[in-house]
Amino acid sequence: MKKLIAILSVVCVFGLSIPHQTQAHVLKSEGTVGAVLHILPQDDPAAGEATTLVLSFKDTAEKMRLQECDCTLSLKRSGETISTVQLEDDAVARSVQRGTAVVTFPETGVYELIVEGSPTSGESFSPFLLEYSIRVARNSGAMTKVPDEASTQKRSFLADGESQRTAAQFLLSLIGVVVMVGLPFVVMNNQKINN
Amino acid sequence: MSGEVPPKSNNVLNSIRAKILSGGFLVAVGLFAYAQFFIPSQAGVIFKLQQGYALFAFGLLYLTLLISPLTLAFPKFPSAGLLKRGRRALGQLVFFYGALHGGIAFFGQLGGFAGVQFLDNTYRLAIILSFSALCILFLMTITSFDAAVARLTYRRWKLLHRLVYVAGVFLLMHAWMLGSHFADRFGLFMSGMYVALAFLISLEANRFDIFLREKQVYNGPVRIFFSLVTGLFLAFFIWLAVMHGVAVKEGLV
Repeated sequence: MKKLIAILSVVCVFGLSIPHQTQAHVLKSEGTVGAVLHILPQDDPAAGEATTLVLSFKDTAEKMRLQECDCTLSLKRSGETISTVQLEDDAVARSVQRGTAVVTFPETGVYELIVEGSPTSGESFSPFLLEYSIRVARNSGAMTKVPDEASTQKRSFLADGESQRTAAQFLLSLIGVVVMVGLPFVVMNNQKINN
Repeated sequence: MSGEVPPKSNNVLNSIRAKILSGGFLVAVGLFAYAQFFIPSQAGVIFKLQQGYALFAFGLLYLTLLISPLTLAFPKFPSAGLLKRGRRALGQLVFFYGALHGGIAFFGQLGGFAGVQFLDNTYRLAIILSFSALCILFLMTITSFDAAVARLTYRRWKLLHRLVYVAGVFLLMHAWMLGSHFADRFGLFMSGMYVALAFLISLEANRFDIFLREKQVYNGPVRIFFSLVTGLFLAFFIWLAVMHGVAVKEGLV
């Protein structure tokens, strides 16, 4: 029973330590137009850091084209608009209607993202309004209102953090090398003992 | 492949399976309570739960798949018998967590069946793969009792439960296509994932070589598949280490 409690505690700690990320891959729709929201990098926006929002549109009536859409993206917090940007057509993604916008969340918290679209010419598709909720749970550390010296230190700290991350990746690759070299020896040796 | 008969559990309530299942349910409830109390927005709760349950399903599936090849390669592995007895319960938890993840993501984030029409083909394919895997896991769960083994006959039961590898591949593809942690192909999470996968696949290759020997297909001195797989992964990790090493040295990050 003690073992079970110990295992459960470890598992719960693991579960609770899963990074606080935002709600990505959310589909919202109005009328015939729907869009899935993706957030880069890794669906984990940080306050004070440029975040790319990617919207994959689909119009079931097949009338909407992003090139012919006046699509704006408004970032709101507690009803107050923080910024409004134009959604850009991602020309690389030819197979899907994909729009991108770069925004910076000023601080951690819950934001509303309003995507409004209407045709630039004629009545090719019905105007739409999609609302998403985004939760920013971490700071980048590179906040704007920091004295120069502190800011430099912070940037240096950030660079160290990135280096540490890559160093950890390097270490994991080395572990992979060691495992792949060691495993045949251990398995073969084990086989000999059992034979 | 080793032809082992599934271990029976005489006292279900006191068995390791009951303990694993009750522990799994408690963790699921714990995650739900944590998300409800500590995450301010409802959308955040939904996201956190679907992601947490997905990670647990994936981790448990890995553990379930690892037990057989691990205990075959290392018969004196501590608690090998206990691990084998607990394997069915781990598999049942994979379905449980997978169903929770699928239900929350599909109905909570993607708008259910009405939302499917708005998804692109990549998304639809990823969902079809995961749904197929969930169906396989469901079949495995409802036949994971001694009575089902007796009713189906062991040969058919084993054949059905071999489908777990198909489910595993489908789930890996699903995660590769949609998973947030899988987006950075050479990030920290994926680097760890490659090591874990390499370990599992190498042990499975070793298991396959033993199977070939048992069937008298190949009796040579070299374990062909094991050598091939470990060699390929070794080359991959050397390349990965060099790549990350250069990035650290040159300050490219």
